[in-house]
Amino acid sequence: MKLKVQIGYKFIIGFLLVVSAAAFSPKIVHSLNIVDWLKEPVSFLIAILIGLILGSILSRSFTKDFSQLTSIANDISNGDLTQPDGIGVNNKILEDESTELANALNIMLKNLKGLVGNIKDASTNLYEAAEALNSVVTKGNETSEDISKGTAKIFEGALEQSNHVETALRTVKEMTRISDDVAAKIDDMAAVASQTRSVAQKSVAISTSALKKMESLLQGVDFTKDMILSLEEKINHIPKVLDVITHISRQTDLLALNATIEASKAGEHGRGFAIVAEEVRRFADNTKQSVGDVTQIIKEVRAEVERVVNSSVESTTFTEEGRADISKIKDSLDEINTFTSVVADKSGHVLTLTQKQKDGAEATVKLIEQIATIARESVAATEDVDRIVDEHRVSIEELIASANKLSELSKELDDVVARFKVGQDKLSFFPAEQTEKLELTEKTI
Amino acid sequence: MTSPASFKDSDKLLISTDREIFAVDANMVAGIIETKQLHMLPIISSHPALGKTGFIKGVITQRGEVIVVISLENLFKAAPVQNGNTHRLVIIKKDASSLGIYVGAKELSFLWKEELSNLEFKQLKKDYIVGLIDPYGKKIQLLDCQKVLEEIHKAISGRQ
Repeated sequence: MKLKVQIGYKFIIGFLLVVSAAAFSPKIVHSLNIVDWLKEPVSFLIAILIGLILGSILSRSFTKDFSQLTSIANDISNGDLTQPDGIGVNNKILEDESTELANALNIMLKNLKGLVGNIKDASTNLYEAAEALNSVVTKGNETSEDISKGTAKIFEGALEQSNHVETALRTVKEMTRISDDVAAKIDDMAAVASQTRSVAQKSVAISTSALKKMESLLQGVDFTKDMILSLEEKINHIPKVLDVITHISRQTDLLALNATIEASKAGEHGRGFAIVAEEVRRFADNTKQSVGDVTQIIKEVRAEVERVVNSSVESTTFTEEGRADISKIKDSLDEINTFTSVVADKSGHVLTLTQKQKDGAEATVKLIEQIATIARESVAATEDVDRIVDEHRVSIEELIASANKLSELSKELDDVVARFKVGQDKLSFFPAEQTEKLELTEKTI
Repeated sequence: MTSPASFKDSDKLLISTDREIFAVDANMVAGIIETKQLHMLPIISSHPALGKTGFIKGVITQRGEVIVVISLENLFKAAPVQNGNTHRLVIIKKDASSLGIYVGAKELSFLWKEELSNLEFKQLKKDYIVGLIDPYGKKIQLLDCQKVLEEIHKAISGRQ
């Protein structure tokens, strides 16, 4: 247990000790072997000497701590907080106000160290947070620009989509109109199919009749071909006959020549005979010429007959093919008759389906109109989003400026705190809960 | 030798080609015949003036008599004409000799004495031709058959 005495009382006690010591100085002088007249001045001097010494000692003893405290206060005021062990005033026997002041300074020093340390930490954290914020905001700005580009593309896509939807709407409307036309055409087609069936039935009857007539015609052609072949054979005999005639005419000519010569030899009497012989020669020449003409004609006739024979053969072939074709036509017409019946039935079904298709197309038109409305709204909404993104980008730019400013401020704070020398024993000024809260705030940033 | 006055004594047989007309006395013509084949004797065919390159076309046998047949184209170096398929011959009889003139398909006609009286005659110095009848018109060449026969006899007998 230490006794606390105020500094004033200490000075009073010291004064008393000095006075007491001075009071004992005459006795000390009387004990000394000195002259009398000197005793009083000596005792006065001794008293003064004792008073000065004791006063000096006591005064120094009493004010020693204040000087130390003043020095420390000056250091603190200069930011030097490096006192490792605090102020050593606790080993006094009698404590006074200096002890309390030292304790107060120690507490202040400790708190200042903690405060500065925390401020340094906070400044560092704040700087890092500002940098992180700056980085995040920069990324946010880039993201905002990406979003802006994305929204621009979305806007273009929405616009294109809207155009496509408009095109699809026109196409579907056109398809609906075409469906109406198709329905009308199918209706007409059903009527035509019915008429076609009727015509096909008539055609079948006509082709059957034609087939019978073709049979008769074919028989006639075969008969004609046989006749022509017979004619050709007989014509082939004609040249032989013509050869005989030619031979006869030549012999006649020769005979007439000789007769003429004999008539010439007969002189005047043979003139008449010579004229007759000349006539015979002329007749033979005419015969020969006629035979030549006939030969030429027969040659042409033979060529014509050959052509007729070939034509007859071809006609027979064509007639055979025609008969086969007519038979095929008849079969085809039967099939057409069947198919037209089927087509008429199918046309009814197709008409029903076309009506359904038309209804579906109309519903599709309505649906696409709704989609077009939504697409147009999407375009408008995309425009709003684009505008909001622009505003957001402006905000981000402002936030970047603020983050830069905050970073600068944190640097300035760090510079200010750097003026305080804390030393190794950094003490926390803030309670643990408050420190955790600060860290949470940094993380939130 | 035929004189301008005597050429009108007999009718003429005319042998016409495309370009030329030859005439022979009708009273020298023994006949006009047709034959299927002409024969060529080796002695004639090997003789350069008679054979294939000469004017003798071949020989025939007529009533046991061998008659030499001549070609007028070869005799007068004229262009050959199409003969046709018939071997028509004019048989000339002069004294005891006979001559065949190959006429083939050539046109044969007659010129009567009455017609000859209106035509001129012009003697011509040309081998085997006596002269020209109607020298300013048809220019009918009167054949010298005697000269032809003599030429044939010379050739066959080996005399040049």
